[in-house]
Amino acid sequence: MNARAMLALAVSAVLLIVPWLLPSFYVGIFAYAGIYALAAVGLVLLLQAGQISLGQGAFMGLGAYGSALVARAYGVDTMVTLIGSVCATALIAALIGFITLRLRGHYLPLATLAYGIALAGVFTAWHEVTGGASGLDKIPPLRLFGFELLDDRLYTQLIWTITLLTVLGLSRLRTSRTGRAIATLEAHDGLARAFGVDTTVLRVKVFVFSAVLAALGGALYVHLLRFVSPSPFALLTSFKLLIMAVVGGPMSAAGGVVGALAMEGAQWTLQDVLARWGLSGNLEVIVFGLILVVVLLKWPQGLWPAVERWLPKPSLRSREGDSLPRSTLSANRDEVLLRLDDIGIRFGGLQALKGVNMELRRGEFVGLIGPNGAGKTTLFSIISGLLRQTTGRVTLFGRPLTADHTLIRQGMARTFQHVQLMPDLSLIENVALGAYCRTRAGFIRGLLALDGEENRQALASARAALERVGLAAEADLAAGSLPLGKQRIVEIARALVADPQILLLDEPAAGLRFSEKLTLVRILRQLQAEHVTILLVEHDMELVMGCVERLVVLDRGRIIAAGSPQDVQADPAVIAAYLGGGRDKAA
Amino acid sequence: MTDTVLFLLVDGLTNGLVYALLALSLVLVFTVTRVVNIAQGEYVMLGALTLADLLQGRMPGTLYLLIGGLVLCAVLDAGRWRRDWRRASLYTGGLIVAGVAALAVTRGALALQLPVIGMMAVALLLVAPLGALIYRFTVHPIPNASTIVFVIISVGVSMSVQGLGLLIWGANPYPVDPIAAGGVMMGPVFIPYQSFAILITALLAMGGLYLFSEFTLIGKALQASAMNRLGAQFCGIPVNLTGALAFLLAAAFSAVSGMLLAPLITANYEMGFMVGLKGFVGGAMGGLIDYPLSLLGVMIVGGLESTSAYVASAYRDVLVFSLLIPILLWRNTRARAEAR
Amino acid sequence: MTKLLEIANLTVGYGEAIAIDDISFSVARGEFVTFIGPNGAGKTTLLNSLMGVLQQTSGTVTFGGEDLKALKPEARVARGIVIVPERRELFPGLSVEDHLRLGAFLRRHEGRAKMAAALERIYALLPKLKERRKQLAGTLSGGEQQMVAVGRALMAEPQLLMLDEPSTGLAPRITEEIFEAIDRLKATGMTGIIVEQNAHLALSVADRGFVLEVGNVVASGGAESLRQDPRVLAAYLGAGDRYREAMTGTETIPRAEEEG
Repeated sequence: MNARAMLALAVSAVLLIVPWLLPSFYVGIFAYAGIYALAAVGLVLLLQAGQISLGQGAFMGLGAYGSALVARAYGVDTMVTLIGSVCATALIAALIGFITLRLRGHYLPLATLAYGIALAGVFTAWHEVTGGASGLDKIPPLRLFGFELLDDRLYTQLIWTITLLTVLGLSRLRTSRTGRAIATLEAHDGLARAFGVDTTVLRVKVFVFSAVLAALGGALYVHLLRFVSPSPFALLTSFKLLIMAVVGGPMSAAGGVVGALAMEGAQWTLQDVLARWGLSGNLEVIVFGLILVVVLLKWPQGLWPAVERWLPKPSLRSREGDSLPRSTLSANRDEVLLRLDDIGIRFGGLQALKGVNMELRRGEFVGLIGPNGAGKTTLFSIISGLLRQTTGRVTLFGRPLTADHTLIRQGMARTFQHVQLMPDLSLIENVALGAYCRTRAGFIRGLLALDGEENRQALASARAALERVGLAAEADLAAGSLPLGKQRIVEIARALVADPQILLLDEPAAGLRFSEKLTLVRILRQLQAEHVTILLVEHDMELVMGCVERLVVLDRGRIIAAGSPQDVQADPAVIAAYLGGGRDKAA
Repeated sequence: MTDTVLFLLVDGLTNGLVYALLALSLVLVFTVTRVVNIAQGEYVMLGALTLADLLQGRMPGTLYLLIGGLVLCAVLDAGRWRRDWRRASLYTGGLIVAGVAALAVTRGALALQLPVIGMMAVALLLVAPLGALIYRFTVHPIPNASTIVFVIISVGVSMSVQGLGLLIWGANPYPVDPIAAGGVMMGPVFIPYQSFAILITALLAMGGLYLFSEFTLIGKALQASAMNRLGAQFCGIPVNLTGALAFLLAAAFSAVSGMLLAPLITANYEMGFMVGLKGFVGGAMGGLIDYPLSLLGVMIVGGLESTSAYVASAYRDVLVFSLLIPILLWRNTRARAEAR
Repeated sequence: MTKLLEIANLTVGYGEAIAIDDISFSVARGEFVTFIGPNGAGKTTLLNSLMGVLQQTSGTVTFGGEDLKALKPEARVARGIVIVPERRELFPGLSVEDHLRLGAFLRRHEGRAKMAAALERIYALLPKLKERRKQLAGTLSGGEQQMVAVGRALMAEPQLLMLDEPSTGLAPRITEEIFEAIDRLKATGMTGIIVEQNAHLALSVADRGFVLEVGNVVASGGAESLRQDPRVLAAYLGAGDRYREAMTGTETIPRAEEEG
């Protein structure tokens, strides 16, 4: 066991003993802090996936009312109602998520605000059932396997046990197949899809899980308080949870706990101190607001990253042993893998591509070049399934091109013009995303750490790929700390883990030094020797001319030349396209 | 039935106009600074309560907030001018003059017992600069922070300002005189004069913003920053100037909105949040970037609100906010189609 | 001739990536220099760093004797460094004349008469802008937009005018029009840096030229001599020899050396 795990264990032990040391008034506060932490941790996961929610309080309310009302009215065992209520909330969240997660920009947070307020409004308005604004008392206590949990200290321990186990599970998830995919959701939707992640489904899963944590928190809350009313689940709570998540630091599940403890701690300490100084309670919220502003001005990333810098590093998951099996590619150089027939595309009035015909045969190394604005990027986007052509047909392995997130399973991987790595994750984690399409473990297995063998294989493959490209020594460094040249090489390693037959490279040499370019060229040559088919879009002509077999030159949306590097270099049309025609009156 | 419809129409329109000023503030701030300002509603409260104080002949607490803010600003910027005594004294002198002027104007207005309109102008003078100060304190220091960080910071600002409101004015509601008392029967519907006042003032305010944006170079600079930040920088337009200006104008608009709203619902320290929220909902329908769509948005919110109040008052908020989701889905599809 | 701009050992990067690698040059008052080279050579990065949009990693940039390092873009505009950006960076909802007025934003206290005179000068140089003065920039053609960008920059009364790829996306006839305007500006004694992919075009207006290739100056000299220089063609279309030699099958790859 490493130092980080021992520290985590020690802190957990303290958190679980604390209820027995506190005066009884503070036990309740500490219990609520644990509940908020649980819901905030759910919000942290949501933020990591790029979603801002102002409806988390409402999901707490659904969990709370569901369990409380059924238990109170029908005398059903509270353990059953608690689980049932959480499951029901999950279903509702799945429905809401399915409807709203397609929203973009400000529309998504606005929608969460809308259903947040609407659901909270129902708790108040439907008073025949919910007791309205004044609420309902005599909510039965929680029974666990027939044992009534009446002791607040024991209950508090239960809450914190659940919260801490959730944090543990989420930190496992982060280093699992699904976790790596979730990390891409916020900023890199295109990347996730290029590596086979169905981002729509994954977003809904994350949303549902986050709602489940909130609902569980809400249900635990009512059976502790034994009273249910709408105000704890109103919009203010949603804001409070969001504050906890952001102040604690949305980069890590622990941030939710830190945020909840910091915010609740600050609030109660302030109240205490101000009362002791004989100051009015009005000051509390003023000072609290100021603290919030100052903390975020000082630590925009949240408190947890500021704390974590001083902690020992977490232990690494095993990457020893066998990699995922690599397929041997056939050497039949006549087989056409990718075929473009008469491709054309219009953007509004602009004909960006017209009549483009092209073939990619097995084992070929083809360069796609052209001056600025020639349409290279557009063509690349069509081939990788991000754009749909207006006219013509793309055929991959003899079949029409399908949705972008399915291409990698068919054997076509890509790199990106603007490097798309998760800067905070290590190289090996970044590269292991390439194995997403070749492994299966889902959300739950990741959470419960039941993905051991498969995850080990994926990481072993990632390590092998890093070795192949000469970056094994840097495997555990954060990707963002590497120079751009190496980051581009990491992208290639990630594509290799997917075991592709076709590799699409979008300006892999941009921003590289000569020595780094040399490494790049050597890797590409080696891949070619293994019969991987390569399509290279690149501006560095010396590099292109020096390594490809065949060139296709685009200018103003049309193919103006094709052939060997020597032929293309001598082609007057190409020279004119690149150096420009000059001026009529010139010289 | 027609009576009811007419009444609801007038009521919805009045509500919508009040929220419109707020939505405009939010759009202005967002386009220029990329800040989603949750605290925008607090200027509504400050405007209303400042006006209440002035009308009852009291020195408004807002004055002390303003002077405190100016002092803090002087302290924070002291370091910036360390080596340049001339500019330092000019800057500090400017802040002092501003503080003294605010004090003098307030005292003068109280002594002269100005009519409601006059007092509104004074209140505006006290509240609007607070917007620029808040920009200086919370946005200026971290220009590149993420949206969510600014959201939470503005929540913090909202809490503090609301707390200050409670500290200064207490929890009691304050009655505020309307610009014009009484009303008129138009056909079967009674329309209070204040509704007309709201209509006229809102139109004047929007017209003022339009004239400012269209016919002054600073107004054009503000538009330019909203349309293309980099392009504005290449013209030599300072980002912090336009940012502070956007916050100031937005504070002014929201304060006017509060002063118009207060006579209808009485003013208190927590009135800002819900009004702010509804303005946000309207503004967000235009993606926080589109003025006409935002206006349409707040009119929808105003209309939904008055209609649902009539239909089932307990479910008022539930209905308003549930109806939002289909509208958002529709807007989202449209926005995506336009992006293509 | 006095040196207006002096650049010594300038290095600029995006994070860790070096885009401009240790470049030194100077521009004298009244001189037009050009940077040519293929896409990705670092031309735009160079101008953005001179404008203060990108931080320089190391080196010094001195303008009229003052070190620019700490100055924000607007402060550089105030000192007379003005750019016509590659992507033009116009305000789609504002009229042509608004753009010109905003170009003179920092001179707004000089009075109406001066502003009107400045506008007339721009309209005389780019008559098409006068026809379109009330039209919104978003509705203009590419060439007209380019003219607006040039006009807007000139309204600031630049000491140093920087043009970033003025021919990008324009038809040859329009390009010719723009370059004729640049010719006339040059005749008035304007100092300038022009960055272009179209080498022949750029060398037709410039006094001196520098050939950039991935962050390094690989050739420089008078415009006339560069026209004949084979290194220019090589910079664009590459020879490839360095890589061909390096490739010998599938031996294990040595790690890239730390910084070379």
